[in-house]
Amino acid sequence: MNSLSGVLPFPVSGEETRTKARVDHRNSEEAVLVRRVQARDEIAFREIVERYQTKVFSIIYGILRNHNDAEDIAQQVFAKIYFSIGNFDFRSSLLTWIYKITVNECYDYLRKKRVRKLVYESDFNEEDTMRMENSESARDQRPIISSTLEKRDLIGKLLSKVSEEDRTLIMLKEVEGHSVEELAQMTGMNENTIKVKLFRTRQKLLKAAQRLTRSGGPLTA
Amino acid sequence: MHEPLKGRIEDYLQGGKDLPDIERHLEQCGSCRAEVVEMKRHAELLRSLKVTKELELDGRFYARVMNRIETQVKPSIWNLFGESIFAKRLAYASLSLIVLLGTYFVSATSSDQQIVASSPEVIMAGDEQQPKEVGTDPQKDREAILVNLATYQE
Repeated sequence: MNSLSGVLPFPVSGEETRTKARVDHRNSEEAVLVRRVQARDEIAFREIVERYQTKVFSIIYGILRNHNDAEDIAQQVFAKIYFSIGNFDFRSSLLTWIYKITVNECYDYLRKKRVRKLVYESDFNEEDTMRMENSESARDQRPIISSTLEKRDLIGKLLSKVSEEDRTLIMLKEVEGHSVEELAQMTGMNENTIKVKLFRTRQKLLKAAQRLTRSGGPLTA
Repeated sequence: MHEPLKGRIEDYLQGGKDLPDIERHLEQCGSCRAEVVEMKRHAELLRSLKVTKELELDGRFYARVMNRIETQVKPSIWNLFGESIFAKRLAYASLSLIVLLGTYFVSATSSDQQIVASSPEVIMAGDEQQPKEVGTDPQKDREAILVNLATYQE
């Protein structure tokens, strides 16, 4: 196998690589809203909170799978947005910037808490858990639950091994389902750069998984 | 991973169909095939983070955010000086006091330096220039005689 850290060539010129005109994040409707918040307009800030609260909450909940923690971190995310929106430079879309803050807050939380095994409550709420534990088929279902937890534990560990930017990009691509073209518009980077970054992130994840396997971490998912 | 795949793996993973050369390479190259399989598995794992059910926050979420912001705002001492007239006057008065104290400190330091800089020779040289009152104090007279004897040169 060749070196993983080799420079990735850009796609061949004959290939159809659509490069759309860059989106001007400075002159969008979102930018007007951001400028109002930067000018300390509280109504505009409220609009941002109301517009993105469900999205932010869903991202956090997807990672932590715990309602109370997700609510707490969502509040912290908006507090961070409030204090740092003055530094928002319109190079990316507001959603991308918020997404990055949100994912970082989750991983900061996980690092601080040193959570090794997360308690996921979304798939199985308290009532379901009680019912499952008392039911006849509890034994049959336990491996499924365990497998789900292991999967999320593994992906959490792998994502913690890559940089903030790489993590945000791969999550926007795979979790949120954005195309390379959309990512280019959201981040202000060109499509080839996005492809290179995604490829390198995937390779980093592979390496991290190999290291985990060698150190006796989770093998299956 | 080999060259044919490197630049186009995103297209392939995204489900690009017209990529026969990549598929051909994957059929022949076991290591690349293993990497692509693993990449697909990671993509699938990532997709498991997606929340499919509707999540709603209650109407008081914004109020809770604002409460948190208030608890995190650190009151700055400079804000006090910028807002009230009394505080501005207090600031000017404090500034004047600082200037006065500064002037006093500088002048006091320079007079101290004069004392410190005076060596016995300087004092004695200064004594020579001062008019001497002899006979007023026997102790001083004795000291003056001793100094004269000690500094006498032919």
